[in-house]
Amino acid sequence: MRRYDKNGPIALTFNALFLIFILAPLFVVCWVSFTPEGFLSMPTTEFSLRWFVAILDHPEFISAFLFSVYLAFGSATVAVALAVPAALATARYRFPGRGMIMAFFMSPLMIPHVVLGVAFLSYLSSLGWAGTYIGLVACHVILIMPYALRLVLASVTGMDKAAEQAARSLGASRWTTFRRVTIPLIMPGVTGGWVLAFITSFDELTMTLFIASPSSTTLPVRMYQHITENVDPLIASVSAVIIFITMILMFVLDRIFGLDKLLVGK
Amino acid sequence: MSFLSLKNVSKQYGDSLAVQDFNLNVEKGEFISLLGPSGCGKTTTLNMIAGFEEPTTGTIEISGKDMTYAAPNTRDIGIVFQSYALFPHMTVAENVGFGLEMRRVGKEERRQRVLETLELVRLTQFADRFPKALSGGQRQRVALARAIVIKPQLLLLDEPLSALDAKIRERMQIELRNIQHEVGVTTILVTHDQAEAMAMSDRIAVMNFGRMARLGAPFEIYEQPGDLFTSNFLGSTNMFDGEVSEQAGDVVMVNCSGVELSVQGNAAKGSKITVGVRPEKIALVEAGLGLIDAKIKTRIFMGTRWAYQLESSLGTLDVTLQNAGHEVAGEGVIVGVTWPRHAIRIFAEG
Ligand SMILES: Nc1ncnc2c1ncn2[C@@H]1O[C@H](COP(=O)(O)OP(=O)(O)OP(=O)(O)O)[C@@H](O)[C@H]1O
Ligand SMILES: [Mg+2]
Repeated sequence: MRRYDKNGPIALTFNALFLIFILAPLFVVCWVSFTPEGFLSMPTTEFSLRWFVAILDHPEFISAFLFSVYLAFGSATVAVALAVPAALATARYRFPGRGMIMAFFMSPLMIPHVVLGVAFLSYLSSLGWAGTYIGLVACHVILIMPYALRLVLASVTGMDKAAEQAARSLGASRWTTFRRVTIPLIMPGVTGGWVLAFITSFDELTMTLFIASPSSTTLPVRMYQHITENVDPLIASVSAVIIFITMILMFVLDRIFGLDKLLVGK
Repeated sequence: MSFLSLKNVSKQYGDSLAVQDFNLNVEKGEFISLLGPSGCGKTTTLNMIAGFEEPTTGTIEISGKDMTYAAPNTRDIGIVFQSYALFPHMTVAENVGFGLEMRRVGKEERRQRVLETLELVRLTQFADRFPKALSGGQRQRVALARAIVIKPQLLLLDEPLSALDAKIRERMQIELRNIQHEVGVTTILVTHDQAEAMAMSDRIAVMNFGRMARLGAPFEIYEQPGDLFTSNFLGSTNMFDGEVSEQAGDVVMVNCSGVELSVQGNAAKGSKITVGVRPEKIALVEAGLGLIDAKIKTRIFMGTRWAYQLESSLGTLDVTLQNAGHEVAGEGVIVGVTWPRHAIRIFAEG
């Protein structure tokens, strides 16, 4: 009897190759970061932590990392705060311009980040917000909005409207209903949207290159600037640290919510 | 003055009328069913009473007060939704307590009343479970408990039993009716199941295409349905088209496909009418002794009764007989068919 619930040899090979293809670069970066040499190389006989220690001599990386977290945190929060009412309005009501609003929120997905960067730069300069935290948050919010909106929208459309009606009939005001019933019911989508928005903001380089200033440099921008000037294994060790932190975060999120559920907003 | 009145209520969606000119007066403590086929406007009517939809025209009064446009949370109405609509993130006790919390009932009293109500629906041991971990029938009872714990002046039930299988449904019908009696709350039940409506209601409002077709006590509207739609919806009916050949007092003779039938009622001589008789009102006798003779085409045993289909000069006749415990005439046999004169009714004229 053939077992259909098991992968065949071809499928297994394909899956293995696919995983290797995705994980190999990460693995190589981590490996390189343990080199004792002063240039990018794969250590074979000797391993060293010198490039991890070297990070401490470059406080600009640490401050850039902290700024990135701070920026991604603010941007993801603002994006989700805007996505919830937008999703509720577009999912619940038919009104003129409804399609346009959705298209507008989704449009950053379709515009090259370079173009956005140039546009935001001149826009922020004329507002006097260039290089400020508020300016960066505003631009990141626009960029990550589609991700937040998608997941929030998925949970709003999947939600049973009768639960809200039940709350209303039991005497809850609109606001209480929103707080006690709507929000808890769409919480999975909100959390998932927030995480996805956070990751997208943290990761963004192209657009941020244009609008960041020396006092508001994100980690991707700092790393990019570093490798344009010198090619040393510092970049590998910084990457390894980020990979490590990400893995811990993923592990924690998976334990709390279940990653598979979180990233589809269920 | 009635407790709840709907006066000329209409609801329009785009250019389709979901409810038209609906009039209904409900007395305090009464149990009323809205009965009708799918899409006839039952839920829409309920939503307007609950305040989830505004009527396009007409007014809704509760205890003499105009509540047509009042917000849902000011109406003091308990609702059991078709989908139950329990709060999945709250336990059974929290679900049931929600309405009391909104009414700012103190914690101790709240706990007490939640417990009492859970006892009433026999769910005490499930108080700390989440709705996900309950069966369909248990969820339905939580929904009911949540609606009655606030002691609403009006209870609305939107097909609350339709998701349950036949056995549990019958038991829940009796339970629901008992609880309603015990609490004494005015209740409107929406259903498309005529047996359910007849079993539970003081009065039934039959709806068709957004209009009220008939309103009355179950027995009354079953026996005197008034129109073809109501008659067919409440149970099957054998229909014959014919022409009035004679009229004498309140009895008319109707010629249906060559058979003269005597019918109680009034109709002008020569007018074309439809008459109908229910399958269970027909009796089978020996051939030649009935009103007409008919041949048994099919005979189906249904446990409590026999369902026959007969071929006669009036067309196909449906007949049901109680199963009295002995064999009855089988397929192919010619029998006589008869019914009491008051059992056959005039429906449409025209
Ligand atoms: N929001 C709406 N927009 C447009 N049409 C609607 C809306 N709600 C209901 N309708 C229409 O109004 C009519 C009555 O609907 P309603 O839900 O009241 O039927 P119902 O009697 O409850 O049927 P069912 O037994 O299937 O639940 C239907 O034709 C339906 O398509
Ligand atoms: Mg309905």
